[in-house]
Amino acid sequence: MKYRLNALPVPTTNHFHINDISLEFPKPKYHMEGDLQIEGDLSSIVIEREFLGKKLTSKMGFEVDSYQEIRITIPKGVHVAKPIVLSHHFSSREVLFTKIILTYLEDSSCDFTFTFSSDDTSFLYLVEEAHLGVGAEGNVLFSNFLGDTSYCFYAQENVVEEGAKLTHTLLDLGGSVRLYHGFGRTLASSMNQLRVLYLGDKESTLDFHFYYQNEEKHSTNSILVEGALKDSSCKNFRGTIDFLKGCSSSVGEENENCILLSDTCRSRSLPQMLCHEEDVVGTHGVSSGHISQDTLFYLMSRGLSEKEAYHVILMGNFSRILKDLPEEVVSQVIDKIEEMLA
Amino acid sequence: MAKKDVFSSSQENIYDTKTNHPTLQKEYGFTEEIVKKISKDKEEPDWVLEIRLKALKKFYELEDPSWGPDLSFFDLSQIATYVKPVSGEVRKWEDVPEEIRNVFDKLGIPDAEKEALAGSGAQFDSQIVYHNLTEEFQKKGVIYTSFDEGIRKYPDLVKKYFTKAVPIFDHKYIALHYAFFSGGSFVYIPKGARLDRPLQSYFRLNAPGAGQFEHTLIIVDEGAELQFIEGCSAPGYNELNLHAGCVELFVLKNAYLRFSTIENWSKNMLNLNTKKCFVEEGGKIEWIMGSFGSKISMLYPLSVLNGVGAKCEFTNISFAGAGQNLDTGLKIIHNAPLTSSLVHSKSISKDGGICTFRSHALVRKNAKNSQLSLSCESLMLDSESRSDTIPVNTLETENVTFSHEAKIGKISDQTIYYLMTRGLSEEEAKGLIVRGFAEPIAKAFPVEYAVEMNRLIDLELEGSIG
Repeated sequence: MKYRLNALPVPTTNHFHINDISLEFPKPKYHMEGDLQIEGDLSSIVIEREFLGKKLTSKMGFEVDSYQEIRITIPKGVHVAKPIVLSHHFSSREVLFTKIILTYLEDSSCDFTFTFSSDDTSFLYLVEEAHLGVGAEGNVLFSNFLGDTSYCFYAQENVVEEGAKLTHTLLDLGGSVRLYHGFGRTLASSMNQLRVLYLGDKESTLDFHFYYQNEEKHSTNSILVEGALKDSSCKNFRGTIDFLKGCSSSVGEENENCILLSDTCRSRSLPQMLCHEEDVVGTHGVSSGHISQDTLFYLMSRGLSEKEAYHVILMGNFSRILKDLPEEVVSQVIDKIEEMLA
Repeated sequence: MAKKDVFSSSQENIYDTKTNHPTLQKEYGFTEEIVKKISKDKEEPDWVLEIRLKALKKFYELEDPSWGPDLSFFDLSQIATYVKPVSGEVRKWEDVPEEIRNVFDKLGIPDAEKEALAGSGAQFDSQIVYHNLTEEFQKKGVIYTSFDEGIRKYPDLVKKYFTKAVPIFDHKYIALHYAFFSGGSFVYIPKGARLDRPLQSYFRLNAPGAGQFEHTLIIVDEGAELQFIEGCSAPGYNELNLHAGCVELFVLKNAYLRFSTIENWSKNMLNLNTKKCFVEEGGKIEWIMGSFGSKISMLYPLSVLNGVGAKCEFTNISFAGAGQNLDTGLKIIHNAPLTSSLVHSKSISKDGGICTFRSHALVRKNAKNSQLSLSCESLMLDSESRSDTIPVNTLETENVTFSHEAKIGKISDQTIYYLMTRGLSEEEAKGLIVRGFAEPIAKAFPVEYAVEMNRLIDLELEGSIG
């Protein structure tokens, strides 16, 4: 079937091929085997799981007919010290359709780590909703270590209430079709951050579509995307920061940096900024390019092989995102990147 | 005769001057009959009529754009497609009918020609009424005529380039343009010729409810240099006017063209203009644009860098006041190695005005070692206004250095406070800051036009344009 994915909120001329993308792939059938493991200190939080035979929609343009819903509530004032880990290693041709609803009640805090891996073809369709109550704080780390021929669809929507702070980090390092959708509503004096690290390889298609709204006063939205493309991979980045009327004294920033490692890859970006409010500070920046021969030469003259030099430069660029991640995750990322660059 | 004093601080709105010069012919409707009538009236060869008829057919096939400002309220059938004044084309200002000459006098066109231009042209509604090139440049083989005359006198040269940069099927309003085009300028700068003074064409749309479809074709041959200035204005009316002009530019090997425009259409104008430039090896195009007037503008000049080492510089400022929706920007295609482009765009929104910067930078596979740098800054003067930035960037090769940055912000209260402590009123302080914001763009214009641009900014700040 052909799916029209991630349509843009404010379209531009169709000649630019950015308003939406279409992809053709067989619709996978759900079977109940794919199930998430949940680990960590679960004593102070509430978890409900339910299999639902109804449509799971997202703004990605693709929907499924049945799924598992996991509802996690962090009660008022509860602070969970260590991250809760939801993970799954896919067996061959396995599919997983899941919706996770994270509800942070007032002044609570908790970090979550979603990790998905596979050695073969797999299909992940994950929809996440996060609601952060007044003064709550949360970090959500999503890691995609799926096999080369896998599909990874991840949509997250969030509401961040007054004084709350949410950071989403996406590590996108696997799969042939990778689709991400993010929608954030950032209310008064709250902070909503999105960090993305990606490496496209072979013939993979990557589509990032993020739409973050500064809705109320003193809100902050920040999108930082660091990535690299090799082989014949194609990437679309569409990030929108929308300053709505009434969001005075708000800040929105958006940065995307893409390193092009081959002559056959293709990078398309649309860092969009919409502004209906005068008293705001909005900035966006995009940079793309290859690794300069001078830099490579310098590193190689210091004894590094070409492969090592590439690796050092890439990791240097990714460090803005990796520096805030736990050590074990960083080492997993380094291993995966080495494997992909090999 | 009133002389335009560009250094005057007076805020008289010279752009709103109306005149009652009689009309010889006024046509409504989008029919083959009208197209044939216009073509016959201009004594055009058959190949031009063929293009017109093909374009008319295309116009009926194409839809309004599905993006950008809403044009659905616009009833095209109310627009006069061809408004021919009684006056014909002359070579001396003295021969231009007095009431038309008064308008151009107020706009300062004859004075500018005497003082700083190599030649100038003036269009009134659908017709060029004045066109002249100084003898010095005529002797060098420079051609600067109305487009109608260009077709008649230089058919081979026109045929070689006409519709080649902007095809008739590009979009609905360019199809309309090609069906009903009238007026505009034809410029050919021969190999190695360098004009030390600019040429200027000024387009004035006087008739209410009329459309203006002028076509400008400029060819700068190998190693030649040209600065071309285009001015546009119209008095305000209660009914809509339409400007669907077209500019086709060809910068050949190692040639240079600076194309400057100050658009100050009245606020009942829909400005749906199309501009494209092809740049060959070692050539350079510089766009300098100031968009002030019009109710709706949709204008995105395209530069196609086709030759090794071709360059593009794009400098733009838009100022949208009450009731205005200025959707402007640019497109750049890097289609050869070692090409480079540099873009600076600024916009100011005030009193509910909407400014949108829309761009597309495309680096093709063969554009190795190319460089692009784009920056846009938006200033919002109140919370009723709107400012959007929609830049699309497509890179198809690794060997490219690309950067894009954009900022949106307001005038800081601290800065206003500082200036007010130095004796300025709040409005004066804001005006000073806005002029400072626009200064890098103003600097790119010749001094007389920089003054005119500042004057337009003052008028916009006062809300008295249109």
